[in-house]
Formats: sequence, C-alpha cells, structure tokens
Amino acid sequence: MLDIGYHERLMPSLRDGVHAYFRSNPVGVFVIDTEGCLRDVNDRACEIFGFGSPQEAEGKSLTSLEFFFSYPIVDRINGLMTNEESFKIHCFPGTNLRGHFAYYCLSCNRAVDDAGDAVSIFGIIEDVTDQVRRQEDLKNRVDELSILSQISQEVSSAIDTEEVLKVILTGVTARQGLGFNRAFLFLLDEESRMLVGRLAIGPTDAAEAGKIWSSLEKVDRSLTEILSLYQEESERSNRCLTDIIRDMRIDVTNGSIFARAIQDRAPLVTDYGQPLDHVSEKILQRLGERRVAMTPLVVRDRPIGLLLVDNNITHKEITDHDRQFLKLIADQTAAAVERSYLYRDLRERAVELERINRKLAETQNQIIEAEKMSVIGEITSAVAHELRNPLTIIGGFANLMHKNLEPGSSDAEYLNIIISETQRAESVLTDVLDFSKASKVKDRRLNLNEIVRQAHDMLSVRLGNGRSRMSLSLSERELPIWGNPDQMLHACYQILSTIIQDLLADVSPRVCTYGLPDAVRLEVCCPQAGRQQEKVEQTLAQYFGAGNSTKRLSLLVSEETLKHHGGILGVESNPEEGPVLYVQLPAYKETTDA
Amino acid sequence: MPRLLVVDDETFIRMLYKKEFESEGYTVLTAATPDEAMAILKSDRPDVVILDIELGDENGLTMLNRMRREYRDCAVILNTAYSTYKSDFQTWLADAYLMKSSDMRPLKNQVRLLLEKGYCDQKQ
Repeated sequence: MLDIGYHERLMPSLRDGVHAYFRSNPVGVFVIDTEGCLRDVNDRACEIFGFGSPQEAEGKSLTSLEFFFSYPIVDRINGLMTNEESFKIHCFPGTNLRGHFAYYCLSCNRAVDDAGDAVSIFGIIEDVTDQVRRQEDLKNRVDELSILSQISQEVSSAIDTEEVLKVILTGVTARQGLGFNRAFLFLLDEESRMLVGRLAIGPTDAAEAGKIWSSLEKVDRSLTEILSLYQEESERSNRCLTDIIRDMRIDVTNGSIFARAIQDRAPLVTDYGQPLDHVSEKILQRLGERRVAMTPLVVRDRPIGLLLVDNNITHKEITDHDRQFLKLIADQTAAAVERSYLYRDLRERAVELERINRKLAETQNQIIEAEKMSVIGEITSAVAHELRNPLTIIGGFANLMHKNLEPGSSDAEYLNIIISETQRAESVLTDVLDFSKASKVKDRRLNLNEIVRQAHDMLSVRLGNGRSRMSLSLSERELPIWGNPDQMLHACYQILSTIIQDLLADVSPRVCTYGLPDAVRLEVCCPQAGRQQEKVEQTLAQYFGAGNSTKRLSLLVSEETLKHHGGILGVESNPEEGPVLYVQLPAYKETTDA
Repeated sequence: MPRLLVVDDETFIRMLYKKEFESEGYTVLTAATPDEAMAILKSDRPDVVILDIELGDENGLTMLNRMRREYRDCAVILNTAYSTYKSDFQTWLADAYLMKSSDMRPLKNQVRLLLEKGYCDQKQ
C-alpha cells in the first residue's frame, strides 16, 4: 500500500526528478483518481493506450478505456477504490485506440492517505507481446519435437507400410505439430520411374475440417490418441482424399516441379501466382491447391517417394521453418518406409521359404522313388548282361544238340524243355530290362512342360535353392503326350539330374521344350559354354559314345521308358548351340489311339 | 565258302557260334580280343565279322572304327547283350545290330542277308 504523505514530504527538486523519471520511464505508468479518470499518464502508457500525448489522456474515464481493458479488468480496477487488494494480470490481449493489437501485463495498486482511504490507483502496464510470441514459439517447437518423437516411436513399432504411412501423415497434419491441413504421399515405382499416389490425410472441406479439428483440439492429445481418433473421425474424408491421388502417376523424368524435387533431393514450395509447367499445373489443379510444400523421401541418396502438404482450408502461409521441419519428417518417413519394405521382403521370403519347405516334403518321396529307379536300372542292366550270355550259350547248345539228335531220341523231350525254358528266361530278362513298360494302366494324357517343370523343381530342391543354375525355357503352348506320369517324370528327372549334375560346376545348361508338327521335344544344351564347350562335349560323349558305360547305365531306364512311350533319347550337333541332348516323343492327338 | 569271324570274350559263345555256322557250311574263325581279330582280318580276310561290344576291358566299337578304316569291304554285325548301344552313333558304322539270343535264327538270317547283299554289290 502506498503512503501519499511520503510524496508531500519530498523535497521539491527530488519531486521534479521523480516526475521526470515517471514521464520517461520505459514502462507505462498511469494514475487513476477516485472519480475513475486518468490523472497522470506517462509517455509509454500514452503510447500503449494509443493517446497522442499525456494531456489527451488525462481526464479520460476508465470506462472509456473498455475497448482496451475488457469489462472484467475495468471492474477489478474500480474494485481497488473500495476494498479490493492489489492485483497483477500477467497477460491479456488488447487493442488500443489506434487499433494496434498486443499482449499486455497489468499491475494495479491503490494509493491511500493517512487515514487509509484510497486516493488514487497506481497502475503499471507493459507490452509483453514479444515474450508471449516467444513463449508461443517455444511451445510450438516443443510440440513439434514431441510430435517428431512420437512419430519416431510409432513408426519404430510399425512394420506394415500402410500403417507407417498413416502415422507419418497424421503426424504431419496433427495440429500439435506442423498442423498442415492436408498431406499426400506418393511412392516411387523404380521400374516405371513414376510417382504413384498412395495415401492422403486431411479434411475435404472447411466443414469437415471444423468437425475433425474441434474433436482433436479439446485437450492436448498424444499422437496415438490422434491416430485412433483419426480412424473414427476422418476415415471418410481420408478415403475421399486418397481417391484423388490413387490413380495419379507422375513421371519423374519430365522436368515438372515434382521431378525436380526428386532429382534435386530437396524440398520445394510453390506459391500463388508462381508460373509452373503444364504438368505441375494440372496436378496441383487436381489437388485443388496452388500453394504447396513438397519434399522427397530419400534413403541413402536414393529417392523412394514424395511427401506433399498444403493448408488448403486455413490458407496459412508455409514458412521456411515449416519446410525444414517437413524435411525432418520426410527423412523419418523414408527410413520407416524403407524398413517396412525390408520387412515386407523378409515376410515374402519367409512365405517363399515355407512354400519351398512344403515342396521339399512333397518331392522327397518322388526323389527317393527316382533314385531307386536309377539304382534298379543300373543293377538290371548289369544283371542283364551277365545273364544274357549264359542263357545264349545254354539255349544255343541245346538247339544245336536238338538238331543233331537221331530221330525218335528220348533226349529230344529234355532238350525241348531246356530250349523253351531258356527262351522263357530270355523273355523275362527282356521284361525286366524294359520294366518301365509294366504299368500301362496308369497311362494318360500328359503335358511335357509340366513334367519338365516338375522334374526341374525336384532337382532344384535336391541341389539346394540357387544351386540349380539351369535356365528353363518352356513352350508357351501345351505339349501333349500320352504315357505314364510317374515313369515320364522319373525319366525326365533322371536325364536332367545325371547331366546337369555333371555339368553344374562348369556351365549353366539351358533346358527348353517345343512342339514339332507330330512330336514334342525336350532339349538340354549349353549355348554359353564358351571355353567349357569341350567339357560339355566330353560329358555328353560319356552317355552316348564308346568307353566307360557307367554313365550310360544311369540313363538306361530313362531311355527304355522313353522308347516304351515311342520316344527317343539322343544327341545331335547344333552349329549355334553346340551338342544338344534331346528327348523326342510323339505328340498326342485326341484321335490317336494311346 | 563264306568266311565268318566271331569276336567274343566268352569262350562258349565262340564255341557255339562256330558249331552253328559250321553246320550251315560256313568257315568260322574266332578271336577273343580285338588284337587277335585284327590279326585274323589281315591274314584271312573274312566276309562277315560277328562282333561283341563288351570285350572284357576292351571295347568292340573301337575295333569297329579301326576295321572301317582298314577293311571297308568286310560286313560287321554287332552282337551284344546290351540294347543301349543302339543309340550310340558309332554303332551306325556296323551293318547290323542284334541282341544275343539262344535263338540263332535272326543272326543266321542277318549273315545270309549281308552275304547276299555283298554278292549283289559285287555283281553290279
């Protein structure tokens, strides 16, 4: 409480000094008398209230300042005249006589006489607009950092690309952060070099914006809360907005601003009236906004997409700071999108691996069967050779003896038995050698392409993924044959397995199928063998040339099977592709007897 | 009298073929190895050679190659327990390919056919 008697006791010179100090004080000081009128007003206070001079201010009633002080403040000042305590309002908005808007800090004390009665009110007013702006700015920065941190947390746990994109775009448009009205995301298709519209978030019009934003702004919400609210509140508008860009394809090689942003890997801002190329003009027209900011999503200097934002509803200016912050978010987005791509690839590989494992289990038995057949083939062949000679000798001599018998000899009967039993044994031997002819009941229409593919798959599994370097080039049309599916599969598997395993370390064989007018053909060749050509020729010679017959034996069953199906296995020389191993089978025709 | 040469590492096969063909009136020479056979070819110039492919450690097809270079006018019948050699292009050098069998008739027919063909060719 101020003692007014103190002033009266001051020396006149001191009073003049105080008065001068009062006038020129950088803080606005004013005195209100008991009538509620301005009495003393210093220069700064005049300036704040919007008066031209202290003289103009003096005598003006407090109620005439209601344009400046709101009614509740005037009421509190008046209250000081009676009993109210001193007060201080740290920040309130006000517009002065000249229409200048600012934020102010006001403190008021009452001055009393010796009797303790109020004689005037002593007020100090300060323009705190700069402080308020700085505080607001600081709060915005904190909000932005908070959003950035929340985006980071959210995307670090999100693995689905769609989910990651939704988090990023919601963060960009959240009012607690950058608060852009709308955000659009385009991802780059590496193959076509086109930006493809993927996802958009934001209201479609002002009414929608009002509805969504009011529900989000009631309290400070975390990004997680905003995300779930967005799901409910803005799903329809997001869908509409996404539909605008869904079928958009932007060529990144055509020199548009979009292409430039991608090529320069730098953010860009367009504004009203700025001349643009035809393509950019058309795209922005479709988005319905000319003032936009865009920033490329870049991972390790490789652009993967583009983030575009605007303030289509509020028309708020896009500042340099917004642009920089957008760049920060874009970097986070790019890393998160890349991570989600990696996760997607990983998931796809896991699915593929699972499929291969299933296939492995399915083909395990087939491989065992095929190998059994191969072993049986080798044994059969060896036994056939060992047995055929003695049978020839026994039967041959029996025939000879039979011819030389005297007519009516009793030995004729026994010799006839030896001869017929030998012929029966030879016949059994032929059947054993051609055992692939045994299961005719299962013969049906087959497609050579499917058999070759199946044999190739079995071989890939057998050799391990990636080790089967043979390239498969199957005829686009069906290659019908008639036969036993198991036998044909075993034959093809055995041929590919034997030859490719011998060649694998040196060359990559090409396996192809095609149709002829009355036949179908499977060929194995090594067109890129280069210096390994000699090795290829040697390998094929092992099967079809003179010398060691072990290799030849491994193909015996296959060859017999093919023969039984009316086919042939052979080698021919092609001037362009070198030696070609071929299997030729008669093409099946519906009218042909199987 | 037509002369036949039987080349086979199996003694009893050689014996059987000799008996059978001699009973048909042929002169039959025999050899167990390609070297023996080449020596007989040089000294006796047989009309037809009945040649086995698997000759122990040696190969009848190699001998066939040598024969074709040195004795072009001699007919050759490949006579083996294997059917797989049919797809070997080297066997095309032979005049016929027959599987061994206790039934000698196909082999005898083939010998007769080749001799007739050789006779006709000579006449022309």
